[in-house]
Amino acid sequence: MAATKDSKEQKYDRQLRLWGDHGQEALENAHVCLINATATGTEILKNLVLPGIGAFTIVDGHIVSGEDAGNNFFLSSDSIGKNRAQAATELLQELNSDVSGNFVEESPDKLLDNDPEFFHRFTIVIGVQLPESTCLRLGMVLWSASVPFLICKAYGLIGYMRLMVQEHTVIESHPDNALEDLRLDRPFDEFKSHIKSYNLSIMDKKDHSHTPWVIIVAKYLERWLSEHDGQPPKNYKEKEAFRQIIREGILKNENGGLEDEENFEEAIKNVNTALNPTKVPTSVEDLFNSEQCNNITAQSSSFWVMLRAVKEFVYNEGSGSLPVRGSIPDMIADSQKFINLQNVYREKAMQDAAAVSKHVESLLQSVGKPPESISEKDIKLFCKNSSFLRVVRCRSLAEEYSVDSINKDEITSRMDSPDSEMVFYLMLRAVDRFYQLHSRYPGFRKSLRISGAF
Amino acid sequence: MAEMDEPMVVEGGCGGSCEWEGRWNHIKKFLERSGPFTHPDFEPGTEALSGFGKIDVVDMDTIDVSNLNRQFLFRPKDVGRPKADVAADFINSRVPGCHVIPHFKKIQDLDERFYRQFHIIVCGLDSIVARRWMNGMLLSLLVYEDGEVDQTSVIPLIDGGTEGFKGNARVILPGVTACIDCTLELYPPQINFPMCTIASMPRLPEHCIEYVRILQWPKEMPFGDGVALDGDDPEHIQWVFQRSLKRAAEFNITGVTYRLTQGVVKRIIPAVASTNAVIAAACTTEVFKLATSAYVPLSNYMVFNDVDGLYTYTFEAERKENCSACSQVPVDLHFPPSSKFQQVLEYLTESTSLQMKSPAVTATVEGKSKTLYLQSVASIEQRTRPNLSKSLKELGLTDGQELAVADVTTPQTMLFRLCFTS
Repeated sequence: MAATKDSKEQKYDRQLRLWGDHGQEALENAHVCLINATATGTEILKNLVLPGIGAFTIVDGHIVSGEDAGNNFFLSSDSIGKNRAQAATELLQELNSDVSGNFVEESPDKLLDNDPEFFHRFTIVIGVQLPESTCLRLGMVLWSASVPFLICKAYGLIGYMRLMVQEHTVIESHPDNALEDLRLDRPFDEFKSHIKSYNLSIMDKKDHSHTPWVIIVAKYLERWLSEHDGQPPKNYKEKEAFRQIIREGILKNENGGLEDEENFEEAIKNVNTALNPTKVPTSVEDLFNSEQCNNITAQSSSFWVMLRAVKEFVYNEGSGSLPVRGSIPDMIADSQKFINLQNVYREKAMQDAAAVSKHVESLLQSVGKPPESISEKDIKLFCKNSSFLRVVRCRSLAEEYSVDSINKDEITSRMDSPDSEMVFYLMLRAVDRFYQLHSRYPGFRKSLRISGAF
Repeated sequence: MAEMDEPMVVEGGCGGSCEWEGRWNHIKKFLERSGPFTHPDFEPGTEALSGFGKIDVVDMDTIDVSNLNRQFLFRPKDVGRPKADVAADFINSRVPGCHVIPHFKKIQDLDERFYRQFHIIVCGLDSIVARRWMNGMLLSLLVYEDGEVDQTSVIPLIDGGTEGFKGNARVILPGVTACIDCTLELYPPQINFPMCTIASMPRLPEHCIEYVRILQWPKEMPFGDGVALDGDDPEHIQWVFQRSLKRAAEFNITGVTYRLTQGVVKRIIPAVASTNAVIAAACTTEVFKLATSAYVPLSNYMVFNDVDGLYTYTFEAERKENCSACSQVPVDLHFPPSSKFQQVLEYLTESTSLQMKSPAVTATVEGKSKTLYLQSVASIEQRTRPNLSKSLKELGLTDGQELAVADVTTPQTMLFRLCFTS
C-alpha cells in the first residue's frame, strides 16, 4: 500500500523533527538484514520498522520452539513448529505497511557456504546470538564488501553490541552544545562595514538598548585593539577590564543610575565566548590530513570530495577558517537590527559556499565526473555543518580477534579498575569460545534439550 | 544451536493456548540460577514464574496518527480510539494469560482506593505536573509508625521519560528514596519568550507564531467566540500558520513553516521508537527485579543519551531534607505582614522547589474558613482577585497561621505555616 506523502508526513512527524526529510529518505532507502529472529533481534527490527526503513530481510534457519514463543513478542504459540524467520516476518510486517518484509529460511553458515554475495545487497547486517565462527566468517565478507555489521548478544541481564564499519561519514551530527560561529576575532569585510553603520555614542535610547550584543562587542573590541597594539583581551584580568569598558557604555538616566539595557548585559555575559579564537576544530583538521581527503579519485564519495573542497577553501579564500556557518543565536534587539545582522552572516555563508562549490567543480572535473554530481544544496548543507563533520571508523572483527592485534594493553589496564565492565567482555568471549569447542553453552547439561543462549 | 524435537502445546487453563512446553524456560533461568548477579537470599515465588498476569493501564488520550511511528500497539485503523482500550485488547490477544484492564481516564480521576491495590506503579507520563501528582498520591498512601515508614505501605514508583534521543528512568520508593519533588530543580526551566519580543520585536519565526497564538487568536476568535486554539485541529493550525507567515513577512523574518507552527503551538517534543524502547526496557527490568526480588534494583536514576555514540550513567538521587512533598517537614513561608498577598502567590509559583501552577489558597480567619485566592473557577477568581493587592495583615492573617494550598501538582492539600518577619 503506497501511503500518500501527506499521511507519511503526519505519521512520521515526531521523528522528522529529529532527522529531517533527507534523513527520512535515507532511512526509506535502507534494506536491513537481521540474522536470527530472537527476542533481541525482533526488538531491534521493531524499532526500525516503525520509523519506516525501506525493507528488511530475516535470515534464520531455526524452527520456533516453545521457549522462543515464550519470550518473543513477535512470535505466538501458533508459530511453534514454523520457521522462525517466516513467523517473525509476519508479525513485524504488520507493524508498518510502508515497509517491505522478507525472509530466508536458511542458516547464515549455509549462505556463507553457497552464496556469500547474498549479503552484499544490504545497508547493514545485524547478527544476533551468532557463534564466534559465523561472526568471523560473515565479518570478513561484510568488511570486504564495505557493509556495516552490528553484532548483538543478550545474556541474562547483560547486553553486548559491537559495531563493525570501515568508514561511516556524518555530515549532520546535530551537536547538542555547539559554539556559535561569530568571527569576532576575525571579522570579515562585510561585517566590518556593517558595524561601521552603527555609532553608539549618538544613538537615541531606544536604538541604543536594542542594538545586538554582537555589534556592541565588535565596536568595543575595535577600540580595544587600537589601544592595545592589535592584541585582544587575553587573560582574566584583561577580559574583566574589557567587560568593565562595555559596562561603562550603558546609558545613564537623569539621576546618574544605569538604564536597564539588557542588550549590554548580554554583551558582557558573552564576552568570554565571543573572544574565543576562530579555528578549524582538531577533528576536522584530522580529516583534512587523512588519506581519503588528499587522494581524490573517481571512486571518492561526495563526502570526501566536498571535504577536500572545504580544505582548499580554508587554505585559500578562507584564510585559515572554515566557511562561515551563517546562523546567529537569538539576542535582544529590535527586529530590523537583528535581521540585518543575520543577513550579513547569511550572505557571507552563501559567498563562502559558492567558493567551495567552485573547488568541488574543479575536483570533479579533475577525476572526469560531471560537476552536477554533487548538488548545490548538498554543498550548502556540508558548509553549514563543516565544524561538526564526523567520520566513524571501526576495526575489523579479524583484527579484534587476532592474537597479533588484540588490544592487550587497553584490556589489562581496564581490568585494574574495579568498576570496569571489561570482565563482562572477557566472559562473553570465553562463553563464545566454550560454545565453539563444545557445541553447547556453559551450564547446559547434555541430558537436557539443548536450546542455546537466551 | 540444536532444535527442538517436536513442537509442544500443553493443555492449560485458558482454552489450551495459555501454557505450552518451554514457555517459561527463559524466566526460569533468571529466577532459578544463582550466580554473581542474583540476590543471595532470593527464593522464587510461583507468581513470578508465570509472568505478570494482571496489569491495569490508565490513559486519558485517544490515538493520533502521529503516535504510530513509535507506539507499536496501535495501527492506522485504531486512530481515534482510546489508547488504554486498544493497548489492552492488543496485549490480551497477543500474550495469552495476561489480563490487561484499561481505564480511559486521567490519573487524577482515580483515587487512593484504586492506587492502593497495586504492588508496583510504572509511569510514562508526558508532563512534570502529572508526575508530581502521582508522586503525591503514593506519598499520601504511606503509613507512619513512630515517625518511621511502614514498609508494607510503600508502593514503588518506576518513572520513565524520553525526548528525542535522550531519556531517563528512575526507581522511587515513596517515603524511602528520593521522590519526584526532591529533584525538581533537575528539570530545565520551560522556555517562554518575553512578551515585548512577541508583541513588538520579533526576530525568530517562533516569535511570530507565538504572537498569533497568544495575541491574535484571542482577539479575533476566528472559529467562534470562546473557541480555544486546538493544536490537534489542522484547520486551527492552518489559520495560525497563514497569519504567522503574514507577521513574519512584515519583519522580513524567514523560516515559518507548517511543521514549525504545529511544533510551537503544541510544544511538540520529537520522539522515536528506539529511545522509548530503551527506557521502557529499563523500566520493565526494574519492575521485574522489584516483583521477583531476584536482582538488585537500580539505585536510583538512570540517564541515557545516544545523540552522539551512546552514553548512559546511573546515580543515586538524594532525598531533599525539606522536600515539600515527602519530608513531613511543614514548609514555612516567611513574609513581613505588610507584603501583598500577590507576593505569597508568586513565591508558590516561582520558587524552584515548589513550582506550583495555579495554587488555590484557603486559611482559617476569625474561626471561619476563607478562600484567599482561587484561579480555576471564574466567579471565585473574580471575587478573590482584590485579595491579591491586600497586605497579609489586612487579610486578617496572623503569625504562625496555617495556609492550605491546593494545586494540580499534588493530589493532597499542602499545609504551609506563615511566619511573619519584621
